Amino acid sequence: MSRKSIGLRTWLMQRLSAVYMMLFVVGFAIYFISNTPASFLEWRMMMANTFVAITTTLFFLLLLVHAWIGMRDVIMDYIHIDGLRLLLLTGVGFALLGAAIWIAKILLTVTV
Amino acid sequence: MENKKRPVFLDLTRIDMPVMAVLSVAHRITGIVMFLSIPAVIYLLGLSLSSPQGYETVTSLFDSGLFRLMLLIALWCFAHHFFAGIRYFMLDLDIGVDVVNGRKSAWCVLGAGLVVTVIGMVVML
Repeated sequence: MSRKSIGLRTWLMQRLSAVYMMLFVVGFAIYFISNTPASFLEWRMMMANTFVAITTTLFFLLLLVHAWIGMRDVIMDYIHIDGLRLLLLTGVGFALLGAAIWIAKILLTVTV
Repeated sequence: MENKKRPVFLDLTRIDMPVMAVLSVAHRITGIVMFLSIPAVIYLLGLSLSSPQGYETVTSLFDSGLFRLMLLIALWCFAHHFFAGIRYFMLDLDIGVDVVNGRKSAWCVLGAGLVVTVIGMVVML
């Protein structure tokens, strides 16, 4: 996509990430309710499963992308002081990148 | 270029807000609240997976009334954002764009979010 369609791209990304998150949350909730872990070991075994670990990590990464687009839109709508806007956008961006590394580290290193 | 002299009237206490506007504002507020709660969610998830002691710490949180209240608020934020998101998908697909249906679907979203929260409340009690 061209530089001009960057707004369209974020609009599409916001919706695609939303679709994945909706499917994941509903699917995970059904899975969790029908296999509710009763102990630390069972909980860890559930999350150590490769499929669960990868789909959950993907959920969080898309959540962070979704949060970035949403927060960016909100900040750009309400904060009109350039310096403050830059500060907030940078802060949110760094926080989300940090959260991405944090969650990936947690979920991809769970072993039984 | 933007006309800097155009009149701006943004007194939120005097603007008549239709239910769709309330929904839009709530979509943003719930999104911001969930954004702010991301660190806590990741921290608790990591703690619950770190050790049996961490797992016990997290599960024992569910005994706390304050924690349950925060969970309910989080559940409402999520449910509202979820259903409002589905409504925006429908608007994107040109479904229910007119005022009458737009208003109806907005009330449905508000109701659905509250229903899920009440179900969560019943499950917790």
